Amino acid sequence: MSGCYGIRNANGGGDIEEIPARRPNPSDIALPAGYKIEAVATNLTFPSAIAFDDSGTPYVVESGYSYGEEWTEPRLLRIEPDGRKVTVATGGKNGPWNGVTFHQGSFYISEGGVLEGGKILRVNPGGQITTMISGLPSYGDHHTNGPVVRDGYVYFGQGTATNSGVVGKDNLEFGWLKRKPDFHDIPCQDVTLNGRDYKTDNVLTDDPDDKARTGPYLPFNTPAKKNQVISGQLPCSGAIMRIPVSGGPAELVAWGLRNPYGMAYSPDGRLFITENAYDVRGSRPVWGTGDVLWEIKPGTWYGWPDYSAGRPVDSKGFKVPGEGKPKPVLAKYPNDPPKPTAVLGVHSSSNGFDFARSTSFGEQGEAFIAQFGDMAPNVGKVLSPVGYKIVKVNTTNGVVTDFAVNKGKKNGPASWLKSGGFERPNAVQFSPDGNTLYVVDFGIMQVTKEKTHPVEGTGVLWKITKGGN
Amino acid sequence: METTRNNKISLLGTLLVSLLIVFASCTYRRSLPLKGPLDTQTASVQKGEVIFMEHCQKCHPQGEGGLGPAINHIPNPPKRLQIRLGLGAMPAFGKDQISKEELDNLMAYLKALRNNKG
Ligand code: HEC
Repeated sequence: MSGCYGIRNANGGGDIEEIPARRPNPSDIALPAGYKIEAVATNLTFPSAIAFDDSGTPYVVESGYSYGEEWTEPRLLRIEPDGRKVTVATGGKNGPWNGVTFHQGSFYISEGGVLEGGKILRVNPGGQITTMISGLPSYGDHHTNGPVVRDGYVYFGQGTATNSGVVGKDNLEFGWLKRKPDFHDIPCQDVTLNGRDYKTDNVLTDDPDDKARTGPYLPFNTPAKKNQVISGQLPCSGAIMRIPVSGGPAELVAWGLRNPYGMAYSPDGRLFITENAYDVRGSRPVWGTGDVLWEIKPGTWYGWPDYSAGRPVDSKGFKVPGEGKPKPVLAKYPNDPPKPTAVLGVHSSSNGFDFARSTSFGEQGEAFIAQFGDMAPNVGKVLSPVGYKIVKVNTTNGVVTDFAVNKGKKNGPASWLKSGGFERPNAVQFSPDGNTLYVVDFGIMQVTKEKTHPVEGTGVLWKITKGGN
Repeated sequence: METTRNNKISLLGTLLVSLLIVFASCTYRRSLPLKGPLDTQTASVQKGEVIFMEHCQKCHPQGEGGLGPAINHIPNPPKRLQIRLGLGAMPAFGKDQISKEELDNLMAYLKALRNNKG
């Protein structure tokens, strides 16, 4: 059945032999008629997000950590009109700083927290940092994301520890299982297991004959029991939570989300998020799962780890070619998962997004989404690079349309196309007047079987406006 | 047994597709920023676009390659075959998932996309 697919050439966008110099060139990027793009700042290291103060000045956060286990210093930078960067605040060794927003005179930053756990930070314009909440379960594959401030609350996302609920060999490769051998996913409410668990090598010992059995929501090498109840807790994994702006404990908004990364309110006041879907890795790989744009309905469970985009993982189309079908691990479900607003490219890493709202930019109400691009082969195989562009989504009918893409015979990052276009757009944000769409481009990340190599100093901030020719 | 049968169909399909690829242009990219809006904007094309987004976009973004191969150079008859039979690693889509009418609309969209050469 899958013989042909198995031998097809795999071709992820990170698959480059040499690291080229980054030379941004707007004419290598295609936009719909009437729009133009320019580079605003270059030489950024792992930039992840952007916010604006009351005067409309842009501030970029540099993540300070990247997949590939690269640590640098997380920073909040003010971008001057001439592109110069002025450091406002710096973090310790607890990146990645994944998101930033500005509200009533302060910045709010989600600190991924690979080493010390996730946090939400408040940073005043003088650079003083206050921790609003700490100890978020961020030691694993996915981290603390968001935030947005609305109606007196800071909303944030918390990614899961694992790909699909079960700690395994892939987590050793990520780097954290050695650091945190007891870490695992935490449900937000009680879940009942159906008893399915997964046999692997015991990767925490050197003995090749030593085997492990691991169940979902459990530490590595802890088997599951039929009808075992895992108690829900807060804070939890794979969820949207919120804390009062005045401080206080985490409250649950929604859960059952794998890695809720981007977060934005639509002009009509609805909360949306982007979810990075399953990879083909670990003990419980799931194939063909598209990233999702979801509208968040408070109190709802969105399906992880037994559904993808509202469909059960054991239904047609999620079986890894040449391997078995993924099987459910939960005995019952809190609710039927909702229907997605839009399904985006498999492995596109659809991340930060924002809604258009000005007549001068046009496209009012459309969601503009930055696609970081695939990390094949680590996430699974792709036949062509996926992502590396800006798409827009009509939230009424789910139609996804390319908006800003690299020119070339094929789609892919600039380093792969040998051009001066986008590398890995990680966030987009409209300026406060809505007339300019800023694009935070993380920079070059080489991904091969042997290594994940993010390249310092290759990040770029772009801006798109309408009214060119 | 299932495997052999499918491999045969797959081989036939591939042959058919390869034969028809004489019509292929040199790039498979057809999307808005590169080629402008679709020339054909009938109600059927618009409905077909929504079907494409629900069932195909994630693996063939804008008809380009991704998890699956590019499909913008392929004419409609072998595409229809591929959708119903799901040759190779791609899942098949039965009438319960995509009705006959929806498939016709999807085909109208795929044709408009394929012909959108700027
Ligand atoms: C889960 C991913 C996935 C989905 C969803 C999907 N495809 Fe595919 N498609 C593939 C893969 C993978 C192949 C290659 C199959 C192989 O060679 O094993 C393919 C092959 C094809 C081909 C043949 C291409 C060639 O070069 O021979 C066509 C045409 C096609 N798909 C159209 C569609 C359409 C139309 C839809 C929506 C109804 C769709 N696909 C949905 C993954 C997918």
